[in-house]
Amino acid sequence: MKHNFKSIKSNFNLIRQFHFEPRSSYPVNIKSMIRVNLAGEAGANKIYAGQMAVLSNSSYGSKIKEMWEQEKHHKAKFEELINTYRVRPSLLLPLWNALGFSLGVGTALLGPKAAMACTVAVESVIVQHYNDQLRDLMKVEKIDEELLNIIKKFRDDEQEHHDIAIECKAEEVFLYDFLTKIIKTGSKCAIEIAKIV
Amino acid sequence: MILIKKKKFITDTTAKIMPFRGYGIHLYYCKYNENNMKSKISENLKTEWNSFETNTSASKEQNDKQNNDKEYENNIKKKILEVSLNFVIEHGWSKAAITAGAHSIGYSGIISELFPLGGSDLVLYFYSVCNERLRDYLKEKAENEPHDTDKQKYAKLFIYDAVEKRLRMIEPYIDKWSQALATLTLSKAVPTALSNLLILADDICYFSGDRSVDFDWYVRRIALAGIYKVTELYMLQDKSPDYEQTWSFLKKQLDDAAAVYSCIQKSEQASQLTKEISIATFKT
Repeated sequence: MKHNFKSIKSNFNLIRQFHFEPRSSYPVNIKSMIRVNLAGEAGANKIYAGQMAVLSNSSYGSKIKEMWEQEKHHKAKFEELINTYRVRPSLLLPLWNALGFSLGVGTALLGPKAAMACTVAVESVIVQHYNDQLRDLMKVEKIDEELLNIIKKFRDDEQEHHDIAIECKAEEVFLYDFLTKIIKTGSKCAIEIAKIV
Repeated sequence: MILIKKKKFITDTTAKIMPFRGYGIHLYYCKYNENNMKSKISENLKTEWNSFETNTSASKEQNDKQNNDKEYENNIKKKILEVSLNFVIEHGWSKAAITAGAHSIGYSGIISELFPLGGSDLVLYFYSVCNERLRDYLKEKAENEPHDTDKQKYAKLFIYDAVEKRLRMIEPYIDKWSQALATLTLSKAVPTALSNLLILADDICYFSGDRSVDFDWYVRRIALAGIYKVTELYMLQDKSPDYEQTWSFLKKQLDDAAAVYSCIQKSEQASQLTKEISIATFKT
């Protein structure tokens, strides 16, 4: 009993330590950022590819293609950055590609509105993720302006995709909340894994 | 004078011990002067904030101090290890070599605490120093030499040259190198040894013009690390003049790897073709 109490107390101390640590000294891992961003953009690319494979002839085709072109540009930019910063690419890249493609095809088969709901879910997670990164980048004393501006611009692009998808009546789809929640949790998990592996 | 000072001291301490003394009066007073209270609260907050800031800056200074101490320790370690390399041929990759090195520049008695891994620490240090030297050499070479039109051929020659250059660095210690390889297999030394090897492979690949950003990245580096290790083992038992057999062995290994790689690339092209065919079939 006594031992238990002690361990709880020490745990509490640990939590307090982390809590009151000045945030400015928290290290920002730029390499991990670029790795996860490339993995994310590659996955997003494959989602649009999967959607285009099914919906290329529908009325949504042109809009999806437009967004896909922007995603291609994002991916190319991060591929460039991964070489300039000499970052190790994510080991699970083939997995992200496969999962992204199957997600794109799967939601597109449920109908064009479901595909748009998938876009809403993924883009909202990515916007949130980029915002977190921007906050982290602003925290350090010596701010990496170039990277900051790139991520800012991409964040705005992704927000635009999110808005386009909502304009396409994504919210009318059957079980919208359920579908988006599942996709959101999935992509959040993928982001956390890709940060490390 | 002393009395006054004492009195002040007493009032100060009582205020610290009993901060809420006279709180009732304070409230009563504030009923009539709310603004005054507000300004007091903000003042309190300000002082609290200031104390917090000074605290954090103090911890920062402490951090800096700790970092400085660590740097100082690392510098001494490096100095000792650098000198002890001279004693390797005599004592081997062991604690004895480090002790001899430390003695020669005037340190003693601290060795076992500073180098918990003993001989492995010395080997790891040598490995990383060689990697750095090779990195500088490759950087210079990649910047100065004009790139050939045939990229693959250029990369192959570049890798061959880099691996040879790196293996030549262990030539002076070749008699004792098998002992070094054995110490690297100690469980505590393995992670650093592996990371050293992969850093070496990464450097060679990067400067040879490899800009892959997918799974290829891993395939190339692991393959190169394997080739390097195998050639190193071959070199240990090579008795030919100027290690001629080792270099021909290395060339053969690289040729084989290139053949396998081109085979994989061809299969990728084939898979692309099947994909296109399947898309065309489904469209019609």
